[in-house]
Amino acid sequence: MGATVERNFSMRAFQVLLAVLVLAVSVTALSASGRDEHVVLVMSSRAAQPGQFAASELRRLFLGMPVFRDGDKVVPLLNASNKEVYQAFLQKVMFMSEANYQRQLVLRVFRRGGNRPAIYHKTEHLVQAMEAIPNGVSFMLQSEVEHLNDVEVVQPLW
Amino acid sequence: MKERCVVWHQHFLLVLMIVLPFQSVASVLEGELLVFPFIQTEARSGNVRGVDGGQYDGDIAVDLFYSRDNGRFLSLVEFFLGQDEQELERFQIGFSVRGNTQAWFGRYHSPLTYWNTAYHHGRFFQTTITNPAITDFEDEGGPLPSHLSGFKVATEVFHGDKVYRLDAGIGLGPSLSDGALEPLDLLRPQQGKHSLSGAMRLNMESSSGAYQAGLSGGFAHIDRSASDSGRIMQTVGSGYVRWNEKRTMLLSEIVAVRNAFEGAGGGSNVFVSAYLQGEFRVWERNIIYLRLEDTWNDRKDRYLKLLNDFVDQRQLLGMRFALGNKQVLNLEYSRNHLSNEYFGQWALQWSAIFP
Repeated sequence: MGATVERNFSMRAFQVLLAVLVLAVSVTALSASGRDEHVVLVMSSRAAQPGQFAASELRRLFLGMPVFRDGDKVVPLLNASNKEVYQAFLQKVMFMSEANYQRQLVLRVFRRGGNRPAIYHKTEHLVQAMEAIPNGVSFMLQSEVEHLNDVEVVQPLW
Repeated sequence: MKERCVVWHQHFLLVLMIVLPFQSVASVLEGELLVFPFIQTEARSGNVRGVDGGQYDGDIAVDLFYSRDNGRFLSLVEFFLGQDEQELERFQIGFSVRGNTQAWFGRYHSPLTYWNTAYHHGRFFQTTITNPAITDFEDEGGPLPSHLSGFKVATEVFHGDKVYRLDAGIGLGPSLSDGALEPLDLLRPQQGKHSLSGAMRLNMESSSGAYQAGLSGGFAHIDRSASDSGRIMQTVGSGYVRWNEKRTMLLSEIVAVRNAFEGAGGGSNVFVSAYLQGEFRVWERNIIYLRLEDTWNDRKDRYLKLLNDFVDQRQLLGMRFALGNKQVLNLEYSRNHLSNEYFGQWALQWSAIFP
């Protein structure tokens, strides 16, 4: 009888310890990802700063509609090198699913002509494109920008 | 042989016109190439004597679309390849003026009515299989010009979260022969007599796509191939609204058409056509839809009597199933009124977009 009670007690203590451990790991992971999750609007450091973009302007820009700064057309460059950031961008900036976003882009090209915004699956290709296109803007993790010399933050996104 | 040489010569010139505005042939490959295939089958009941295709009909077709913007010059080509019809659907060369205005030359979709520019041959984009009869293509009984060949300008203005867009075009419109309108065919320009037509559309849309409204209008001088007949002067005005909520979409358009016969006999008539379409999203991306179409004051319209396939009343119910992101399957039933008789139609369609 006494041995059973003792075993139950140690079992419960083990469960509590495990729960505390899981909680601690989760909190650490959350705070780490929270630090990394700041995403910013970026452009080449060689280009002239375009100033802040309103939320509706950003939405228009990445839907392929024209947005201008000092008479020049701003070129949207989609960053799909980090899938989570890309998905979060669609949710937080475009307010739509990827399927719906792609549909909107294709529909606009079908009705009006032109091209869809270019999409980049590797950061180095994106950075090269930003260097080549003077008015090209994109988005990426702030922590990523800190390691890139030729990329400058335009404004925080979230 | 000589005729074939002339046709290939014309095709070569058209390709050259597309390629020339670019710095290299390689840059042509940077454009958008989209492929819209569809397979469709129809079964009809009731009085199908006057219906094109009879009791059973079907079609396998592909719409090839190419578009390119190199910053200044623009090009757009759309080629429709069907069992019964092969057509250079759109062929446009243009340039950008200040980024938000485009000037185009070539053959384009007439800005008249909402449906004509919103979907046209992009079957994958439209929810229903059947177009509203008033916006049907020329060769399918449509009473309005769907295509113009000439000059077009399009401009967009942004204000807050709204986008205002103006499309205006002027060019050669359709002629009327064998009970249907016939637009200018760029590959066979010698066919039919085509006179001046024009159309414009003013559209307002919220950038979120939640609502849209607009007005369109136009005119067309329609020449008839029959030697004893005079020309028809057509003037059109339309208004539409589209409202989009999370799971529901409502679209309605009303179109007024005046047809005046020039020459001996003369006379004119105004008829009005309208449709209301409702769409309800169920189980993620599948859609149940219905549409009601009606036409008023059309019985005594001499012009409509010249068209073989104009359906003046339709009630339609259907379901659209999403097969992933790039394919859909549609099943719909419609009850149609044509030449004072009703017929029912079941239609099944698979459509897709690639890549």
